[in-house]
Amino acid sequence: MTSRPWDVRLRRVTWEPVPRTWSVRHRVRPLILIGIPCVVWYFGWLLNPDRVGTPYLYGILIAAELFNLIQALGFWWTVSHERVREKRGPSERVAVDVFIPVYKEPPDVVDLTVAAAVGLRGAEVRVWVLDDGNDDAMRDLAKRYGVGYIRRSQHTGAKAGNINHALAKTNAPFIAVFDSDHVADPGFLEATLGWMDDPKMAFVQTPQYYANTEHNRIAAASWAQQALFFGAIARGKDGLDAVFCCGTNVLFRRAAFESVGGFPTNSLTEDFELSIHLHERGWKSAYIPDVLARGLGPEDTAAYVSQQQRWARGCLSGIPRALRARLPLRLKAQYLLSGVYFLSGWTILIYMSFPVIRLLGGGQPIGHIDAPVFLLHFVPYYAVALTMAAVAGAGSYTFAAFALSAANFWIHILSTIYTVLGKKGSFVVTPKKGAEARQPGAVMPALVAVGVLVAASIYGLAHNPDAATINNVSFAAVHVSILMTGCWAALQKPPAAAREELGAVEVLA
Amino acid sequence: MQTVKPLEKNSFGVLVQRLRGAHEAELFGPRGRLPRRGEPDTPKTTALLVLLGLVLAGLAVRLAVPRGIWLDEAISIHQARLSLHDMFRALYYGDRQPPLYDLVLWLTIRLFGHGEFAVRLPTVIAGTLVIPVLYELGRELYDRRTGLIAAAFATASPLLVWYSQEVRMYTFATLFGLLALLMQLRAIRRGGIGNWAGYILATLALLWSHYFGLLVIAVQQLIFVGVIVHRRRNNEPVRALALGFAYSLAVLAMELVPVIVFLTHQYQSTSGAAGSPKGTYDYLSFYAVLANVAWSLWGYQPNATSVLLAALWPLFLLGSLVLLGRGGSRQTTALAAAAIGLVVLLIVVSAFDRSLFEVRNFLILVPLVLLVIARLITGWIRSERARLLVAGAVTLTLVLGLLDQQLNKSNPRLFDFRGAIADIKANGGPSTLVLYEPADMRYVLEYYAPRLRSQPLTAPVTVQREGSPVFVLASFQNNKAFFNERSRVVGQLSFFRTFTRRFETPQTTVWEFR
Repeated sequence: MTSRPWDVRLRRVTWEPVPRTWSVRHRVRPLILIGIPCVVWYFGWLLNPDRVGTPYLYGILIAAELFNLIQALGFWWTVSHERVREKRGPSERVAVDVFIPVYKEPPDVVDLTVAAAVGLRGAEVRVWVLDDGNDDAMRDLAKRYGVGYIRRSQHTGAKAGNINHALAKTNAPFIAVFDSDHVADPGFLEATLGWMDDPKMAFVQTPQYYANTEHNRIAAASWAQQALFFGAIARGKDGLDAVFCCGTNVLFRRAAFESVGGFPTNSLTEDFELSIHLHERGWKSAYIPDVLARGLGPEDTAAYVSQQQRWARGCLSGIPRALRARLPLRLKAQYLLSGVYFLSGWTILIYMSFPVIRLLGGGQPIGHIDAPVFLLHFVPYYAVALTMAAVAGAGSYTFAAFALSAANFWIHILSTIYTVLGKKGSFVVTPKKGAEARQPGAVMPALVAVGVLVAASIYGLAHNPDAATINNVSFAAVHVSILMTGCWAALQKPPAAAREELGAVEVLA
Repeated sequence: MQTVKPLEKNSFGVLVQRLRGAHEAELFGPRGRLPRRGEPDTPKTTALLVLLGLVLAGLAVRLAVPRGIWLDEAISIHQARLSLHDMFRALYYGDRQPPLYDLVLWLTIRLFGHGEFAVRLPTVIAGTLVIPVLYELGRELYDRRTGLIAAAFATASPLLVWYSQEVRMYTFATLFGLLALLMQLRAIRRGGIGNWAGYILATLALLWSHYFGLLVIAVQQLIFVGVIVHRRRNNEPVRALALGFAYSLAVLAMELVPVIVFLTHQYQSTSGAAGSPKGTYDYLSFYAVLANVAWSLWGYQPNATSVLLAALWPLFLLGSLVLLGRGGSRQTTALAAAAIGLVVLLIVVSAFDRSLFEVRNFLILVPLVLLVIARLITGWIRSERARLLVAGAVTLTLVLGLLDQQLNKSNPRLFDFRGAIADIKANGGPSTLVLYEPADMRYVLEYYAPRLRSQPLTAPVTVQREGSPVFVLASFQNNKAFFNERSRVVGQLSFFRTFTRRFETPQTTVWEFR
């Protein structure tokens, strides 16, 4: 029995991971056929030396555009290889250790996670609460449910160290890992264990679904970002045999785990590096697109920032590892694409800088052209790229998601600098409950950028209100709108907790 | 004929619908009564009162005409003043439009004369009727609130006002196009002889009003096919719809024969002669598209303003990003798809003749775009106050555009021939000769100064009594051929006569010689 009669994580799943009609691969392949000529049309024009305006700005623009092109082509390539795996039940009854690593999370959040884990079907389930927070309430909770409880004397290696420690204390041939807020579906093992019949299968990943999106802007936007990844991208990675572990809602083979010495403890994204290790040793991975566990997304901007910082630092520091990895080119490219995504904040900074530089009297990257000529070349490419995101996301990727990501561009920049400088980061657990006050500090860099854009616009309009200035002010307005949309939740009074607004009628039967 | 299951009545069903964003009624199902998140729609009486106010305001705005008759209008008036036989003959041999509007104008002139108020009456009425028809389309597609906001936009829409005041067929095409869409929607949703008859009549009226109505009709047929395919896929009954579609198609096909004969003959007779003078248009560019988009929303502005408005194009990038993940409403998607389909067809058609890509030729897109904007406001904004604020702000920009369009003398579509001719009449004597350019200016002179002696600039100047004034009335001077011809004649006249003065009215210049 939980401490309350209902919880958002028991609500019906509202996300349809796989489109009912045409598959994503069938939708995007014709688009790719249209898109490639558009890419050639735009970049063939852009890379012509006649286009050079202010040389250093042109160079920066080209770098940003090529980066985005690589990301776009990588995205198209990935989603066009979509593979939709069916659920596959176990062929024989086996034992599964279910790990729930916790670190000072509220017991009422973990309560339901443990209860759901106990209810898993399809195997001999041994649930373990791995308490790294030395919390007696957790011990009581484990005792109440009659599940295992493991507490370390030395808390090294954060979550990775916690799981590695538990590996030595347990012995089932398979291990399922759920973050402390992820409520497993009773059929989780019945959907995943069957794929472990392949002896080379190291892990089976499932989506990291957020259930608290109905009344929380940050969680909703954050989920929209997740939905694109755990939708078309993850299925595409599966089609390329390049699924990487995401740390929760995943079933491991103990032998695979042990073959690489467990989770690497020197990384902020231990799951990313673990996947590289496993793939290097020839292990396989799989992705089941069905939602088999429901968790809580970050409920405030600070929590989102904390999560993104950890992912960015981890993935960026994983790039050298991916480059060194002895992997097929296909897999290596997939790891690199995932890693370098966290450099995209630089391109946002670059695009924001151009109108500011122009309005303050500086140069512009492209010269000797007028808007119609630029648009004639740019719009087809842009339209295809945007349509591809919309089609692949099947409507799940929203403007709010894009804006939240763009408003936190500085995370990528800071993380790159820290990574290059070799500054150590610490593993910070994403808070499971939202703050009760406004958080302007969490979006301060974006607010500063807004201030600069607005000031430059006013300056430009005051000095020379011609069409070129209006054009650059429009660009500035676009950036300001995006940034403010991304910042809005942090500047607003937080809404009442979502779970208090839902009626019992909505819970899963 | 009900073809779509009604919304579930139990709370769980409603909740699931809300969670999926499916709170709106199906596009081609019975109209939903819950506009958005369960909030009540505008009460019927309130809506009708507001609509009445908008219609009266729209009529007042449309009756306040600050400009005179220009070339195309003068041609239409000239044709409508002929006998019916001669008018059809003139249209058949010398125009490029179908005759429905001209027939109405012919009747109007017989009833009310050919004063400026009288000749503008048909389009003023049609343009005012666009307001309630757009409201009804918005109500049919969404709810009364959306319909009212769209109607408010239409009341102040500069371009809709402009062409409601123009003695040409564009507003007729817009009105009948909207009616055709409305009746089509009703025929699909509810069937019934009345709705099908309404659809067929409106479509025929559209077809006989403007040849570009063919593009609208093409899009409508695609909508029919799409709905039939959709219903078949969902195992819903399609027989009645298919029958109605087949019958309407047969009627249209029969009607298409005389239209195509008429059109083909007109184009053969007028190729190279009709339309705007050669050299007025360059190639179809993005700027042309942007400028037309800006015009369609904020009306005809001075070129400098149009350039500034076109410079706002990055906001379209923002608009496209905002649309991400917003594909929930079938109504809006279908409406936007129809509008985009029309634009694409227009671009394709315009590739053959650049002069066709003009906002007046796709005036029907303006109310459709206004309806989409109204829906974005009612669909996306939760707070009633914020909704009113945004709708008010949009209306305000339209009103500003309207004022600028109507009153700014730099409006590139404003040709003040009336002012120029009035000045000539006031300062010339009975033996005054007016040399005009372009050639179609004769219809304007015929309208405003039928007793004034006039001849085209290209014709040789006849012997004049000593001291009789000669005026050169010229327009379209951005056209190279016209400019050269006018320069030649003015130069000759300057040599043989005394140049008295030169004055300008919008887009018109007059040289006076004694």
